[in-house]
Amino acid sequence: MTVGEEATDLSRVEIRTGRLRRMWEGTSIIFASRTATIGLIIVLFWLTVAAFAPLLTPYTSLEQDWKAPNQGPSSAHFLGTDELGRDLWSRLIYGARIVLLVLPISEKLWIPGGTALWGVFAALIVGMTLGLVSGYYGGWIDEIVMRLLDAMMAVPVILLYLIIMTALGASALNVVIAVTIVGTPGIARLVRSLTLDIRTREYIRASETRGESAWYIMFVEILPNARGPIIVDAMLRVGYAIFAMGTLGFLGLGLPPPSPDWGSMVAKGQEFILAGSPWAALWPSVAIASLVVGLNLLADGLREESMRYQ
Amino acid sequence: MNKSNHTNPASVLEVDHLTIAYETRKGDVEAVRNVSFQVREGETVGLVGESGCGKSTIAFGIVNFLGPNGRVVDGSVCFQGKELIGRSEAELKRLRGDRIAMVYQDPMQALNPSVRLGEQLAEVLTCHQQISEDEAWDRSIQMLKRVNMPDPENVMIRYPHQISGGQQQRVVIAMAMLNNPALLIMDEPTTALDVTVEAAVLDLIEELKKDFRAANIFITHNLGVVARVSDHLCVMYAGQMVEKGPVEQVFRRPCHPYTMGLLASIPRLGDTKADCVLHPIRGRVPPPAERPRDECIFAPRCNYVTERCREAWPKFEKITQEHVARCIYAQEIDSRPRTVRRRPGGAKDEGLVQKETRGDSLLSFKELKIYYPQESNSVVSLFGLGEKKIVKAVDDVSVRLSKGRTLGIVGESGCGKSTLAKGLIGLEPITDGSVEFLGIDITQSVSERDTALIREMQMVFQNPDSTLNPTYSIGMQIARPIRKFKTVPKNQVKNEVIRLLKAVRLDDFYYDRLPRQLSGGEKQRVGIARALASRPDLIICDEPVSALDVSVQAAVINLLLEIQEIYGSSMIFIAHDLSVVRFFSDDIAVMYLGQIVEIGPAEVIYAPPYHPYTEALLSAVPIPDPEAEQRQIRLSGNVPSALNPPSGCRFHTRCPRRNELLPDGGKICETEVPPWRSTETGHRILCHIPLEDLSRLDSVVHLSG
Repeated sequence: MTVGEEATDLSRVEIRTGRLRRMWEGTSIIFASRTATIGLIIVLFWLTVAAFAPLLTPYTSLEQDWKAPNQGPSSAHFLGTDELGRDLWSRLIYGARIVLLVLPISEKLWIPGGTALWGVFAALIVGMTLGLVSGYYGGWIDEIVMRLLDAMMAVPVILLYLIIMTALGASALNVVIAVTIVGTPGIARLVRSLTLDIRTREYIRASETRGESAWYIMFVEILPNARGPIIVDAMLRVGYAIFAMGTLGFLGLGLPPPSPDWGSMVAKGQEFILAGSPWAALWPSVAIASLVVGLNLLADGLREESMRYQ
Repeated sequence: MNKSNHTNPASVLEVDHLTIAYETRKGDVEAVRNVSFQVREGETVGLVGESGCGKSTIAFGIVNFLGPNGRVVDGSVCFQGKELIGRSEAELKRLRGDRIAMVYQDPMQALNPSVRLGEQLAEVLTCHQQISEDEAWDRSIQMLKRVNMPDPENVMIRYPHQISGGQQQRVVIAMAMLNNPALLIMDEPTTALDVTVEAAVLDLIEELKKDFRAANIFITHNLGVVARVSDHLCVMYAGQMVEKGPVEQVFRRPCHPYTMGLLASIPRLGDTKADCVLHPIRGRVPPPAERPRDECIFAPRCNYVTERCREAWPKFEKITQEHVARCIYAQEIDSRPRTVRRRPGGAKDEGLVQKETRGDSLLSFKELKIYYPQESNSVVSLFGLGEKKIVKAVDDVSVRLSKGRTLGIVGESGCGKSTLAKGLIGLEPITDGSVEFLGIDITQSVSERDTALIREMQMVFQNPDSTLNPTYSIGMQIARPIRKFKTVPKNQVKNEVIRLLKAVRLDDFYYDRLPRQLSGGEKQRVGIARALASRPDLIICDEPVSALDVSVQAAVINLLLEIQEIYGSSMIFIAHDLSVVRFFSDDIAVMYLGQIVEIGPAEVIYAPPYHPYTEALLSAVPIPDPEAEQRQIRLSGNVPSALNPPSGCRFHTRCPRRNELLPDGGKICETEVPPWRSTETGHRILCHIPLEDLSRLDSVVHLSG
């Protein structure tokens, strides 16, 4: 019998699928789509300036120059100054740090990972767990969880943010909590629908016949196969979270001053737009918009490209 | 190519040197290369081949539905003397008009689910002809009558989901025939149907061909089906036509090694593992981008390959006037040693198997019932007030399986065979009855079972694409059960995985591969290796080969047989293909609507006395031999709903035998549950008709040779 000769020598070459190679395959999908590449460039730009902020500006975000308030772009101040004479470029890139790279829990304690990222991450953990449980078990557990989340989704997002922030008070940690609470229902719904599909696959039946525990099946067998849509959704959600942070800052519910918060920068700067100094409001708006658009492009491109491979 | 003579009817379609390519990122890829054939009036041309061989692409090329990235590179398609290639869409519409019709595989996708069937049918007429709506409606009803649709007036006002799959396909065929097309293209029209329904649809296609004299192109992967309906046969392989000729000639004397390979890799009805060996074709179909242009495309998989085969692309060799094959050895290949089908000394083996029959009992279940509640969609039930309906998926089933034996379970879809498997493995709660496995009661669900018990019963699944978790490497997936059941010490897990990979004939470098890098057959082997990892006593195979191509199917069946020989595992083999079950099993149970209607050793099931249902099944099996004689027994009606099974004998609504063989037209069948009638060979039949009468019936199938 010639049963085992299916594997030819040719295929032996492509076997070395190490971890690195797989990671490369994962990222190469981004470059296959122009949309995703542009999005990635924008996001990477903000990540880089945030990471190297101290090297990119001679000022700190709090340094005030009383002699030069509300200036336009000049050689001394790349993007101009605000009403207190603080360098806008510095405030912008230190603001990007808070969004993308660090979470200021208190004055002294900063932990890595941006505020928006932590919010989405926490929402992912809670949402995925709820979605997996209600999708896999079904029945009355599903019914209860989903109706509760529906009730939360019925409240307008902005209103929900305002309620949470006014109840908890303005701080970075509370922004994270608000983003988590607001993001959870959507993620749970997404993961639930993915779970409903994946749990009918035969490899799930195979693990059930092996007597695997429900938690093993949910987190080891199902979750990794739902990762594609979850990653895309998470990217979009980081965009929403940044947007929400901007909104909260604008309404004075974001990070307490004088921290360089994009939203509160817009709020302060808008008073001077008609006075002939639009810069203080313009740059943070552009920053928020570009980062959100960048993340959206990245997510859309990824989604399109991964659909095409299927 | 021009073979038409005076006696032949007019040629309807001539396809000449057709080459079709698809644009991809890596440039154009040829999906079909240089294909020529013609279809005459009232003639059926079968296009047969495995998946990915370009059969459907040809069909789409003819009607110009290739999609945005496909195009005809070369060649011509002549329909009723008019060239179709290179014309604009509007011109094509005018030329073709309503003269070409297509029937697809899935009737549910061909019918609009939100429009009544009558409107869909009548629209076909009113769209193409100047005809009043009333007249269109009447003609649609007549056409439905013509395709043997029961109660056509009623069907006209129904929606597609309200009729069964077989009836849907009839409606689609009726729709195709309404405008009396000159050419009918059928792309796997019966693949999604059950075997008895398939037989009836094939009969219908045959009848319509005689009546309407349309030229047919029939695309299928099933050699049995193609043998039944075709006049001419074109065998496709990797985008090329490798052999064509009249169907009897091709089956009697296949001249291309690929055709020979296909025929050698399927069991014919009646073949058994004791006296036959299946010969799979090694390797796999090359993907379109990697097909060599100037050598024989089949060379890498061919048993007769020589240096000459790789020198140039072979031309068609003539065997007879109409029979050609694309192989340089086509003339002489018949005189070369033919593939050996018979296993030497088979008769002796059979006797041996017979004696082993009554070994220790491994698994036995008595009066097993698996019911589940069906939630109705009415408003009342929303409030928990509605009447609870109960689906009796498995009802009162008793079987005993001995160690080392294989029990085959056959039946059409919805007969409860998969539910039975799920119940045994513990995924579906058992409503009533007793199940004993290794002397232990296993009526509880799998999560309550002891690990030591779980490991003794494993399962092989149907769909190779979903049987493996796409995230993890092959090695990890096979290692998981080994770790879980602690079959070997921790430091030897990898060795054990590699040993198992070897056992299923895969090399050790598959360890690091991901499922998507494997072909369907390879995935199925990994699935088998995973089931073997815990060294189970019983392996339940739920349609393990039905999603595979025939050449691969043979390899997997051989592998399962080999494994059984080495490990001595018992198996429950569930399938709907009667030839495969017959080949594979020692004992066979025939299920109908949740009940076993006939059970016994494989040899006796396929010979009289039959249960009337088994008889009908056997007469419906497509046999890959146009000369085989098969009695025509067609069941009327549909499988009744398991929600409300018929009283008395469940088969009485469709039974073709009770009228002739029982007094009073078989009234007793409608009221009383039939008794088990058994013979001394361990053969039992659930029927009111006495065994003597059943034994007197003729054998359904007579094979040639």
